[in-house]
Amino acid sequence: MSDFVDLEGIDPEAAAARLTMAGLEVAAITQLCPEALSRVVSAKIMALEPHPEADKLSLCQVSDGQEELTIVCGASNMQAGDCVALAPVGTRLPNGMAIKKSKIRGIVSRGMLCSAAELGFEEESAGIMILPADLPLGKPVIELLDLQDTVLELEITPNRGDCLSVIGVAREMAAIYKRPFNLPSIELKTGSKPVAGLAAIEIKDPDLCPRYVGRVVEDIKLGESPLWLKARLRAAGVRPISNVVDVTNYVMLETGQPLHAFDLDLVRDQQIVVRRAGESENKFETLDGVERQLDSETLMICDGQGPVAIAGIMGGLNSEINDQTKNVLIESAFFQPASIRRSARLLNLGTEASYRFERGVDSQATNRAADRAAELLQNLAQGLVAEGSLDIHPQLRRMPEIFVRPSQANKLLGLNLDFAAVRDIFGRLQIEIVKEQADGFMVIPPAYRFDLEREVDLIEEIVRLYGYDQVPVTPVSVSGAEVIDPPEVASLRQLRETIMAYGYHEAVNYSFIDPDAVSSLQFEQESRFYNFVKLRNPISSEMAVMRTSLLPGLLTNLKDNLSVNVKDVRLFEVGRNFYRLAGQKLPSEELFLAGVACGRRYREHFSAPDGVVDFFDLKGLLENLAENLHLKFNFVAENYYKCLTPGRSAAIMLDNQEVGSVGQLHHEVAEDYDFDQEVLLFEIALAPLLAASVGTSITYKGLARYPAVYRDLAFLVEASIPAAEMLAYIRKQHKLLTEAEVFDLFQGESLAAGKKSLAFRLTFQDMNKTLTDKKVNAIISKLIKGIEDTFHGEVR
Amino acid sequence: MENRLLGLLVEARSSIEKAASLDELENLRVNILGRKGTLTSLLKGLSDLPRELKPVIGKLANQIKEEILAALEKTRRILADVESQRRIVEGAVDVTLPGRSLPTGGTHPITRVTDEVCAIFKRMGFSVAQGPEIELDYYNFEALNIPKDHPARQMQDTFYVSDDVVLRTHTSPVQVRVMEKQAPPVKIIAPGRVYRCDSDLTHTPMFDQIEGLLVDKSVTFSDLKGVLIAFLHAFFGSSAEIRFRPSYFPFTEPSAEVDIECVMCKGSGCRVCGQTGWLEILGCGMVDPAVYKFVNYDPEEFTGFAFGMGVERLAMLRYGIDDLRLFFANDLRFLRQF
Repeated sequence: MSDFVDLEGIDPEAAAARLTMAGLEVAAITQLCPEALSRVVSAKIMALEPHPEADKLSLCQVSDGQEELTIVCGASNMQAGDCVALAPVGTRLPNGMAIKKSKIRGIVSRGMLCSAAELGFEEESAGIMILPADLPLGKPVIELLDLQDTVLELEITPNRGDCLSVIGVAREMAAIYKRPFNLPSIELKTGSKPVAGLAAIEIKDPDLCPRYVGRVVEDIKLGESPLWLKARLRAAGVRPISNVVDVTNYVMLETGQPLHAFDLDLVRDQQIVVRRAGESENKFETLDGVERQLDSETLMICDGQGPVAIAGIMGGLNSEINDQTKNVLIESAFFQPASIRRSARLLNLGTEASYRFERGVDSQATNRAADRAAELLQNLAQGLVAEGSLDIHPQLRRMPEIFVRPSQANKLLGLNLDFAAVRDIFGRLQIEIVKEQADGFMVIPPAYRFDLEREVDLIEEIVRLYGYDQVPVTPVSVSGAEVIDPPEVASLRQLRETIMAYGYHEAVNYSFIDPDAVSSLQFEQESRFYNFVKLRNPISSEMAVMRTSLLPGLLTNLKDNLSVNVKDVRLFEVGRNFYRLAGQKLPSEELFLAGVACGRRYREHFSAPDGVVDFFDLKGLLENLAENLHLKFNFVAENYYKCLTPGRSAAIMLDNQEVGSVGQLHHEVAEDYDFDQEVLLFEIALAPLLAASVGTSITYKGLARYPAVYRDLAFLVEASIPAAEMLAYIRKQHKLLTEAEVFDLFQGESLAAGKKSLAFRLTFQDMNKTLTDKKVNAIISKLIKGIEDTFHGEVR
Repeated sequence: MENRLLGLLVEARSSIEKAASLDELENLRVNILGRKGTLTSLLKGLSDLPRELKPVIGKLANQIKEEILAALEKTRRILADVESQRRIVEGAVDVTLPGRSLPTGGTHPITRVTDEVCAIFKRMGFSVAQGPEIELDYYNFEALNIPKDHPARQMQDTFYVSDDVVLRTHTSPVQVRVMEKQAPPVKIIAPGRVYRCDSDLTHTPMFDQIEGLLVDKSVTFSDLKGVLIAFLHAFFGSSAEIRFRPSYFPFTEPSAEVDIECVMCKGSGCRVCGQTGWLEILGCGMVDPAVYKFVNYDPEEFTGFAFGMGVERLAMLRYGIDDLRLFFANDLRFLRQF
């Protein structure tokens, strides 16, 4: 970066902090080479002789300029006079090896001569590393090899494609620190062949490729790149391949302009044609050896006869740089971002190149990147750079003129900036002011800033450089009265509080379920439980559809808890179920409350009543839920939750509308889940409940001033007669019979088979006078007669 | 007569003192002072006495009766104390034994934190809004200035139901739905579930967000800072350092990420904050004029800000939870801690 902006006096930590506060978040700061490597120094082999006790080992007399050391070495690629990398005793190498003074076959070795792999410079290496002979001795190797550097890892937001390069970040540094930004000039040797005779370029679809620059480098020596270049590529996560490929990658990292290198001899007719794929060209093999399916909108780079690369995404196998490559055509182009996004998505192929083209590259710097690559190939691969470049730019993008009002910036930001402050910021960002008026500036952003199109984009730039931390804070108080919740929300809170008071913990399950979980709960076929909203790209088949019931999730939770030995389980969940609606894009989303319970009713205690949770615990809970909202549920024996046990389950009715079900899990389903105890469940739709709760109001009734009369009555009836029906009959007998409740149920040997005894507590109350026995007895006589007639009941 | 009265007194005192229970004492009272009691019987002979003796003996008899009553009362008190002590001793339990209780329930930590956050914003005048979890592409992306090919779509791995229906990837579509229905001023928060196609140690495919939106005449970036700092101080404590740094969201401009000083290490750098000393806590910004276009608001007349935060992240920091997956495992050993 110091090639482009003066970093004097700026330490990396401080730079990272400033970049982060300017919107270029620095995620990590690392060293190009580990700190410990600075102890590894250059040294010269003064003398070399075989180890007297071991054939494969050598004894090296090594000088680091201060002293001579004897070192035992296992390699055989060195000779006396070589300059090598010495790790003295006490060094810890990147691979974790600690260098100690040690005796090897009777000879004391005072350090180690390192290989490039041991130093972390290469993935593998044969023999120790031989350094250039003329290096000074005793100096840190990483310093001598230009490997001492700090690496900042940045997270670049999608709008800042211009910062996906060292130059881009350097420009930001220059703007932040108010220092000049400079591009070093490119030095190319002159006197070579003109490019015009070597290759030709034609753009047939300028809408997708507004600019294409080609440069030819002849007679290159293909080989490895120097260490510093490889180290920098690796630091950026790019694997070194060969000097030619590495140079194109390096220039991309430096300038942000993706390049491609073709083997010019494999480009048929030495001609490049940029065009959409032809109808017949629906297949193309990219250089990773994969055959890709194309469509006719995909922009291709072709030679005189057919495609050689998918523009902006990946080169073809047919024109790839290979061991025989001598002459290279460097491509530096500007492709339409939308076209590359489309192709990359279609091919499901993202590369470092497409990532940058999708976000937009600098259309003014296309040629400079090609020149830079040519310069590096000239210097690192002894290439002869052909004179001049082929630069075709039929439709260069014009940057928009944007009017910016400092007053609007101040209005939006809460600032009070004057024209001078805004002018200064624009100058630092190389935003050109073409006209200045009384009410604002007409500006043109630089060509690499694709994110600057509107006034508000420039206002963001103003505050970004001014500093978010400099924007004053409006004092805001959190002490006001809370906004009142709508009544449905208040009712829902009440429901939650009630169910928690019953010992239930709230669960939160994923909204996606396995459709098989619904079938295994044996909901009736054709019911809405099967109106699934299916995901196109689920995480797994167990999460393939949106839930239509909360029960599969809760039953899984129950199973998981039992498996970790939590035995007394009570869980509830409030969440949405989703039902596909025929002919509608969006499904219906309905809020439900569900619960699952098993195990002991009370916490374990030496004097608590025994017993496990059963149907009546859940029914009682539901009755209380309704009662707390001043509503009343009715329970009827039939229901459509087939996973519940017939005879131990009921539909929950609110004003004759079925809103849910409660009951014991069917033993067949319980077996599927390996439950060995009774499991109770309920699920209830909340919308009707909450809506009804909003309509309820409380009206006070006067307290009785005369004593009530209580009577108990038991009837022997057929066991199949529902208690609720008898209660309903009793309750409408007489207006003075104000309350009736079941207080006892008896079935057993002393009664005839198929009979039960139901005992009712009756309350008689006259608000105007004291009731007489005579009056009460008359009502009771009539009631007994009625029960005998209606239910064939027999008073006991 | 006089001797018999005095003898009775001696005898009565002696037997009263010997009484072992309140029942026995009551029997003695009846035997002495009752209608057929010894003193009562003796006093019946008073009428046979010579007239001159009557006042003397009568007075003596009354004194004796008073003394017997006093003796009865004295012993009754003693015996009552003993009886009371006996009942207390017999009824004593080991109060250190556990109480008899119903199991207690509790709220999921996600709900707890959501409620807490909403309560803070409600005290700043925000009301709660909701939207669908399965959402049209239009609301989730298009109207938030994220067109089909936009690179920002890659920031969010989307679950698709069909070409134009998705599981919402953020709560931001609620902004658009509310603004569509309502003219400014708008001041809402929208808590809710969101989905992204991502599942590993630090990502769950479903999580919870809280969205906020304030649009009115002359709302500024300063106001945005004011509201969010007030919220963060209310939630994390007023000493927490807060910073706003530039970021990018397609539906706000300028955009910011808000960091608070790491609650674990107080800014000195630790594992939780990745050695930076800061925790990213929410994203925010001034509503982009492009969004106003979709809801027919005039950006020259109205300005506003929006923000969004992840509930699980807040809960992890609040309760020191180190594994995201615990939120959806519904293990009672976890849930019972809240």
